Amino acid sequence: MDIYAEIVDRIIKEQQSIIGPLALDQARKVEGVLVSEDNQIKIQGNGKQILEHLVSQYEKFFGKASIEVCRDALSPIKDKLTTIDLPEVLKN
Amino acid sequence: MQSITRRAVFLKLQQTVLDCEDNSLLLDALLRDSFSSLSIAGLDYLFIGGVFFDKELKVSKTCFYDENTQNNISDDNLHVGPVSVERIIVQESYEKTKLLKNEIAISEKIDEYISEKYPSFDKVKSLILSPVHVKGQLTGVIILASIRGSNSIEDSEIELIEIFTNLVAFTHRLQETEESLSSITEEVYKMNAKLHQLDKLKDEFVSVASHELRTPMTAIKSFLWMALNKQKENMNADLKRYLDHAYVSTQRLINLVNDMLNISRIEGGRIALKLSEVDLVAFANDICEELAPKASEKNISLKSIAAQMPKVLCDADKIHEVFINFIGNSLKFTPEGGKIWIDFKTDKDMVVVNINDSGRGISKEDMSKLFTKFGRLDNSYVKVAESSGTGLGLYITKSLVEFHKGEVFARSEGLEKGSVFSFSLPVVGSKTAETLLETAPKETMETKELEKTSINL
Repeated sequence: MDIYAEIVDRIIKEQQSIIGPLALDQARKVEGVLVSEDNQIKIQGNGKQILEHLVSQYEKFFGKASIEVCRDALSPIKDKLTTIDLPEVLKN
Repeated sequence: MQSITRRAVFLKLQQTVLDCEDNSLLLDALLRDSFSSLSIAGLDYLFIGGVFFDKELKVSKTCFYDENTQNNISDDNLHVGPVSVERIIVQESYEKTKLLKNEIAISEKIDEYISEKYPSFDKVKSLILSPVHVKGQLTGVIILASIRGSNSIEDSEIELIEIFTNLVAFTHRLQETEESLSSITEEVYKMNAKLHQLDKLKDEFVSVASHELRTPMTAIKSFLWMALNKQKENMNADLKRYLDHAYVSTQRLINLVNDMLNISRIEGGRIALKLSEVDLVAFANDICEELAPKASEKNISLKSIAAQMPKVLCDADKIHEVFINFIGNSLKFTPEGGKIWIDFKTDKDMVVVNINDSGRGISKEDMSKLFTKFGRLDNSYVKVAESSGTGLGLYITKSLVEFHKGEVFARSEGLEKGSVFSFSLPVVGSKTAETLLETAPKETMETKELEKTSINL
């Protein structure tokens, strides 16, 4: 899985653990995020932009606390993230 | 103004509200479109504004729109454009009296309401003040600045303004409700996030505590075993009984720790599935052979009924634990000389395995306790105390089967009438199996193996 797709997948799953199916509903509204019928997640387009819009979508509905959750979702793979261009909002 | 025009204006403004995608900009969109729509209808207003307040006259929102305004939601709660809020709602006046009675007021006292600095000050001939009443209270005022004097304002125009005011009032209420919902959503999210964090901490604690407990428990068990089995001289019968009890209790504690570790791993998503194609009939045969010595301790017949079944997609190690749990329970609750047999069914999508026993059976009332954490049945406490059951086995079994997109079932005709525990797994090549292949949790650095189940009768 492409690293951006993996990050998107992790963020959505972490949000699902907090707000359940609403996480997928909001993710579907982000251009470039594709959610299949059996809730498999793929992305199409500029990974960094998609990430930025996804985090922004969650912030719009659930407030600033959701940004922290997005960041926490990435901590298990932080070693993989050193070489990729992350949106500012996800950098610690 | 013709009624057809009034209708057209109203419908257009209504559609503006319905079409607005961002509810936080509803009032903004409505006022902007009102300004242009009313102008098309032949009503020339220099500006449209509004102020909304609570029972204590604390202003919650002001908005203003004229042809020069770019951003028409004002940050200044003291003015509606060039109009002083205090003048409208605080100072006693003829106009305020009318507003409180829910009547439109028209004033030509322009210099009392509008700042002379307003660029179009000289063009304003009258101000139309339209009240917003909600739950019998004045909660807002819509202000329209007309280039015509009060005598030129017709009844049809007043009618349209009343309809328009109501639409603005609805829009304001909608926006307020939306803001309130947003605020509640944020609070609920924060609480959920906190709960999620506490849950993670609990899982970590259980994992660490279980590891720390297991080491000394294993040592105690080893020494008890040596005391029971390595004595050079015959042991006093009472002492042997005490040591036997201690050994069983120690094993029970170790099983409990292992089960808690397994639950922690399952619920924390730290379990991976290594999927392969498995012949369940042959698998069940192997397990029956593995458990034959245990079954013979109680003279219980344990067999698997031969059948032609399609292969299933599963993690063999996890399903081994499922079989051990179910058969282990049957062995515990089937009296000496009883029977346990395994049979199979398929509907081409799933294979269902039934573990039947001639044991104590389950009452209707106890059915709901099965597959829950620590859901021991009332008649099983003595049995469990004598053995080393933890009350977590069926819950773990259910979780493992559900990881495979399968289901678990239990049936019993009642007490002393035996029971059937069943689980289903997807057939290789079926739609369910394809879904399982795509969604099965994969091995990562965080995943762990399950602790093995042991059966003590």
